[in-house]
Amino acid sequence: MIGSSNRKRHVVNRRAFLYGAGGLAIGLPYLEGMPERSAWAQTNTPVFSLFICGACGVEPKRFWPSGSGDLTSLLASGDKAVNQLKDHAANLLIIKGINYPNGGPQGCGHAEGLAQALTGVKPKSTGSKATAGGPSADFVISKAVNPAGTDPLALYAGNIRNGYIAERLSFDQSGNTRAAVDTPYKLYQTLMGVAPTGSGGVDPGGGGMTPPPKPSVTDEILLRRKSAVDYVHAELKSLIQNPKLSAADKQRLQQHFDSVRQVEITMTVGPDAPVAILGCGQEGLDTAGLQAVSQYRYTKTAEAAGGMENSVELHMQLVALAFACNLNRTATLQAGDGTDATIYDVPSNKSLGNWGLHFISHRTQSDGAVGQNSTAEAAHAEIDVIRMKTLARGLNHFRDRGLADKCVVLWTNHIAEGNHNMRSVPQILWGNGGGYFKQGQFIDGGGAGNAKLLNMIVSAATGSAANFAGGGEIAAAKA
Amino acid sequence: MEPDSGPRPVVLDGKPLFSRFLRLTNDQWERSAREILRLDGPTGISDKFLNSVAGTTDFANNEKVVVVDNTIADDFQKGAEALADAVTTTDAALQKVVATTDADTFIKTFGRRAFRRDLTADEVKQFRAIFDSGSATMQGTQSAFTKGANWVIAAMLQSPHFLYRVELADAGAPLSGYEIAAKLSLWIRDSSPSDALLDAASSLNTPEAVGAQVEKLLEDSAALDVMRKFHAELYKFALFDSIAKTAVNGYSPDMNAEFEESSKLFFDRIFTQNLGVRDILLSTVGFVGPKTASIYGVTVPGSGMMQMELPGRVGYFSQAPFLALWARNNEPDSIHRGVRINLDTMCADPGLPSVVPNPPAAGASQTNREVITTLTSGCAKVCHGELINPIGFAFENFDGLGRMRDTDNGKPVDTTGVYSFVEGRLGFNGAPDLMERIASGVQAHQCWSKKMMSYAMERDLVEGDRPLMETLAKTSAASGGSLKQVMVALAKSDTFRVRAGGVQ
Repeated sequence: MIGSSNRKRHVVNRRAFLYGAGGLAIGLPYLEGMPERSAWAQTNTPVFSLFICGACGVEPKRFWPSGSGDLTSLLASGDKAVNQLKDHAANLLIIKGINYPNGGPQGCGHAEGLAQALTGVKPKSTGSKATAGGPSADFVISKAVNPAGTDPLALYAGNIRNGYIAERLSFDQSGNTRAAVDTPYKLYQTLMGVAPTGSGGVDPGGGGMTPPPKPSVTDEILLRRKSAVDYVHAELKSLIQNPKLSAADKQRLQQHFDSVRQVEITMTVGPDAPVAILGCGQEGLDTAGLQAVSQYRYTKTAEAAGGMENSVELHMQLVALAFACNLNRTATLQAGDGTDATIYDVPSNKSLGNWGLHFISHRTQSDGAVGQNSTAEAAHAEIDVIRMKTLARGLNHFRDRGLADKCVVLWTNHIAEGNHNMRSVPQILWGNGGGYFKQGQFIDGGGAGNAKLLNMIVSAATGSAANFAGGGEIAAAKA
Repeated sequence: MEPDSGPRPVVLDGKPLFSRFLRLTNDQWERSAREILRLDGPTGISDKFLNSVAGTTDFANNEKVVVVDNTIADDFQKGAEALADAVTTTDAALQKVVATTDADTFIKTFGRRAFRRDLTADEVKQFRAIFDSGSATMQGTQSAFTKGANWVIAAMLQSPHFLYRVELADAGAPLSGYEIAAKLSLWIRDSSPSDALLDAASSLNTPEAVGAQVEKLLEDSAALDVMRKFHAELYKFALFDSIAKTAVNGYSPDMNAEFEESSKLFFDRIFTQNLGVRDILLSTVGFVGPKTASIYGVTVPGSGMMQMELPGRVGYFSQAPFLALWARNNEPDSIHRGVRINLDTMCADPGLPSVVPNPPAAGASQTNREVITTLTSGCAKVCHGELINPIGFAFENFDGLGRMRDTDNGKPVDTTGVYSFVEGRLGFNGAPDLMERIASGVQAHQCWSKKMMSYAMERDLVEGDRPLMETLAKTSAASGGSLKQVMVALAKSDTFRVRAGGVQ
């Protein structure tokens, strides 16, 4: 376990990290492009934030804890879905009674719920193309605490091209949807600076299982990269000055400029610079699991390699690593859009004949109507158990990397339950966000809008009182 | 609130940015890289790139979603480096890209392909400096020339002039010849222009010249791939893989792949055989594989898809893929069949439900139509009554797998209906009759034209685009009107050839 109490703050160099103790089974990076920022140097008390959004609501009767108050005792025994989180009880804050601005769907509950989940405001439009009425919390946090040009990580678990909606959780300042990385292996490559590997007629000679180049060659590659980045920056700067450009185009090119600058930051630190790391190491990474999805092919079976739950867990592992290494301060993880065909292998679903989650949540084999099939209701509850098990396993990585007092992980959903109701949407927080949040409690938000909770997370993550989505706080949630 | 009664004309309420910088899609990056580097086959590198946001725009090439963020910038950078390395492994390999050993010649020749225009003198100078640095720095057994070229290729493939299709013409002025060439080639071939097209760019200053060039490009094999992708996005082929039916006798999951393949082949035939929107709606030719043959009551030997006449099935929407996709297990999903045809084929917005209705308890002998009629009675006046249900009910003689049926729950199926066409409320009996009425009207032709305009120009459409849409629809609806003719007419239009929008 990384997070043992006698763990020492240690210093490793980047090459040692990448090789790790005994080597990394999934192959070594082509380029040593990992940012080399001290994990704790930029601020004294960094607070990281991960926002996870599940799909299709929960089965409320068998989801919430029984009673209220101390979670350690509430979760110690029982058959509610959240009992799966009992090992994390002391670090949890579970809140019921939190509503989205629209209490229900105006057109498409899934898209509209997603557009409200992290924005706390009503969607700008309705239907399956609904976009947000403002930025999401991760974007605001990123602007405040990430280096300029570093975007918050936007991640997706599930089949992003097999639903009606696709990614719709992270939004920029104008409410535009941000594209999401839908494969943990790509996230791994992004974090590690691994070059994409061609699968066709060209072997680019990098990535995958290829050993890293010799240091002298690495330096040469970095010089080539610097040459190109300098050129690209100069060109973009020149183009932005063109008076024919609209404000939108200037913004578009500025975003490109900033994105390349991030790469430059990655590049310009010397290869042997020390990294102060606490919990920043490859120990605990499921390298075999990552290898299994390296040639990504989505599978409908939720817990199989490439399935929804498998992908959620791998993404969480990597986000925990990214936070521990201070590669990014904030991330979103959307687990499906509610309309894809993910199938959970739970007993009641076998009785149904393996319905997709969407049909189960609707309690009938329909994308539109809502039925009352009691077996589907039971299946939904069993699926909630699976999802909470996944969350627990994912949280283990955050715990083991020593993030409990430097982080907040929010697990929510884009609707409350399968009828697309958006009242009392589950809100499960792990980590005290730098001492901001109460821990070990199950509380009632009293019908507060989710904007207040998001505002609190923004405040915790940025270290200063925020006014996100109208501001406000939920007093009972504050430490 | 129940909307006003009556037809719903094609909606043109987009909010375009009229961007001057259209980032290459991943497919365009891939094909352009192959074109300018003279590669024999796909690199596969772009398969790992971040995809643009899906679902918020009609097509994933819309200007609003083709932007550069951290992740795709990283992808482009490493992809450029990988390709540069791949084509400079030896001196001989580089000669396949440009057969020269003169640095400036290489820079000008390769740069013209990459930037889709001639380089300026300053640019040549810039890249000469990069070339010289590469020659002096890079290790390996290659010649100094090849090493310099490596650095130039890596830089050019990261340049905004490669990564964006640029329109810098004055607002209201015609695009330059190079800009037109790039716009045509990236639209129709998903690729940078060939050397020949770049050579012809200066002549692309009249509608006739543009039209002639489009006719050539449409015969390129890459055009078929693009059209396949266009129709796949329009009719949501990606969803076939999600079909899952429980205890439906005759269904097996391996039918899903044939549904997709059948759909691709159907639209391939429409395009390659110079057919048009009328044929999408009225063709009785389909493609059937051994897995799905039972749906049609035929036998298909071997493992491939077979082209055949499908009696009683008029148009794509009467074939199994569409019918099986939009179904509730073994029951027809009349609502979604109606919604999809309204949205994707008529471009008519039937409105959105404000609540999710609870289904009524199905009576022992109720038909699907009766159940749906009861279910939607609260919104029956326009949304369902005039627009969605009539179209959906026309397919009541096809079950949830697309098999024909005469009865439903012991009663004869009722496929009659009255739809609010823009030409008026017209009755029909069954899908063939409905398809004939749709094909004879203007709205489906306008809708396909609208979709193609949006795809070609990579933006939302607005009311100002309506005259062109109506003109293209006339081309489409005319006797023998083909998809290709519509595309040629689109390219010849001022809307396509002239810089729109200006500074917003």
